[in-house]
Amino acid sequence: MVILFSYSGGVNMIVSVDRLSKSFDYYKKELGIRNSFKNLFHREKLVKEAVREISFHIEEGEMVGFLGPNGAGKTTTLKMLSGILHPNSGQASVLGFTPWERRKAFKMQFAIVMGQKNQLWWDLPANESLYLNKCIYEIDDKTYQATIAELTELLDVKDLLNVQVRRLSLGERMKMELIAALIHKPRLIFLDEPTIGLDILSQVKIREFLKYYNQQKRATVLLTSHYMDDVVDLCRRVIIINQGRIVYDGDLNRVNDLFAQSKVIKLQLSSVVGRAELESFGLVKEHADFNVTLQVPRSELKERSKAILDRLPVVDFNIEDVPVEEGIALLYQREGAAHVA
Amino acid sequence: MRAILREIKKHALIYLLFVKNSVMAQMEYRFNFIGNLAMEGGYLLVKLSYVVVVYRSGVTIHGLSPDEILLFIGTFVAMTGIYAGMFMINMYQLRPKIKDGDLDLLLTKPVSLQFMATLRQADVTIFSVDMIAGAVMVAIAWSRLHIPVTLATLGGYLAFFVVSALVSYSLFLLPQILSFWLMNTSAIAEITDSFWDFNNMPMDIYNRWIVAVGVFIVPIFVITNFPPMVVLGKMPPLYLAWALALPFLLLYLVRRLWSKGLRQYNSASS
Repeated sequence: MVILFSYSGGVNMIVSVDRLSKSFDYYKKELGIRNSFKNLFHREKLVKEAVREISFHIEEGEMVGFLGPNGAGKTTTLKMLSGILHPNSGQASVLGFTPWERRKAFKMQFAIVMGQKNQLWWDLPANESLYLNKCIYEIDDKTYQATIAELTELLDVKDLLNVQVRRLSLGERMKMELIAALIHKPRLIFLDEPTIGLDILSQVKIREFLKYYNQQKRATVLLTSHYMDDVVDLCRRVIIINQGRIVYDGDLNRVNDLFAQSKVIKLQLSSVVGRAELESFGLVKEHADFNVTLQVPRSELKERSKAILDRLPVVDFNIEDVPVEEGIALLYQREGAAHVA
Repeated sequence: MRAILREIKKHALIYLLFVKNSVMAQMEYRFNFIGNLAMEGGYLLVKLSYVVVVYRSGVTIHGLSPDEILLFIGTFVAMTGIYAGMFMINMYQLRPKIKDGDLDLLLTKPVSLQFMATLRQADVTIFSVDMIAGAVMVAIAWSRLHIPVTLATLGGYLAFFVVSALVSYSLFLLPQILSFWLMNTSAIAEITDSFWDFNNMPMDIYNRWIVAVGVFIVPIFVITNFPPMVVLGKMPPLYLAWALALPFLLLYLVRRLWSKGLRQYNSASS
């Protein structure tokens, strides 16, 4: 099942991917040393198809969320688009270049930030690594000073430039990594889990920064994240990948429209009501003393709401959309089921 | 041509920054840094004592006088500074970098990846101590041999010293590049590393077959034998031609193997 909303025919296509595939060889080893000896002489080669014939386009200035469960092929795709990996087949044009040819002119125009990898010198203050990047990206002194001043101001880390990187918190370090990645004002930014492991405040700050940067600089952004808040906050469009295939490409809100034709009703009650009684109004998602969350079919929302208000001791009543995570989870399940079948 | 020169200038500047950053990173840990300096100072004294050993023993090898032997040993010590201080640390880190996918971010930089991955770190304490010790030994031997300090002698020695540095970089990098295919090449690397010590005495101590292999097949003897041989006027024309061709040949081989290996790079799952 592939639901594809065409985004081609845009003004200026920054990323064009056409049937890109990547597979990796691997082998298995059964438990125990006997099998280790066996493996010395014979290994059965297995192939993992990480990305299977994916195609999509991204226009200049777009901020696109790239979602999928672990092992879906998100990072592999990002690595191919940034020239780190060669694909097995297919084509891609990024900023007008074939990424895996690794041309200098291409590298000067994009940046990749990986939440689990760092480019800063661990034992030195961040400003030393930033200066190194200034020389690597051939930035003149005036532009460098102005960019550093602007980015450190926006991310609120001016006072930390002289602090050894290993002494910074994870959030502070990620902000410095972002500055190191953006110092050459890239037109295209790949962000692979940039908020992973960060506390809520740091996540919010980085999201605000990315939103501002995207709007002000018209930088194109492709973002992968496990935190739905990142995607909901930043991206109007999402591409969802599962088992190496794109299963959805379109408006984030339509994930719910398409796959979760339900609404969530959150209730606060004045007295405890039994689960069995609540189940007559809808699917009980949460039930903790006076707080109840029910999921009801969207088509029956009006009738169910009326019945709830008439028959339950309601103090507070809220109707919400099904969380996007659940819509995507449902989508994964359906795609998984389709493959099994 | 102008673009190439600009790139060379850029890479030279970045290399200086790598060295500076490596020194500053070492200096962040004051106790360790001072301890290292003290330890390397001790090594310096030990290495300078070679001078005494050479003259006290009065040994001659295949017609080489103690002064000439000292010239060889001094070159070996200085070259060890280049290899251990500038190259080795990076070559040891290349294997885990390939295995753990740590070349990812380096690959996206508009600078040669081979340059970034194989010259990024430096241990200036090892480099300085060995260079000082080597230079002192060479200077003593040079003076006692009454070799004139002219553009031809000093320039020739330094030119062949650079050739030797290029040969040692290429020769010891080649087995490490196999990590792109084999992931773990520690066994091969340990064998090739042990070849380094073949250099601590003039190659004349070996029989002619070993010399031929060490010069033309696995050109390990080129590294410390050729610079003193040039100064002493003991360089046969064949060796001279070989010395001029070898760095280009080895650098070309390294470049080809590196490019092929890089296509095998699979990063690592995150």
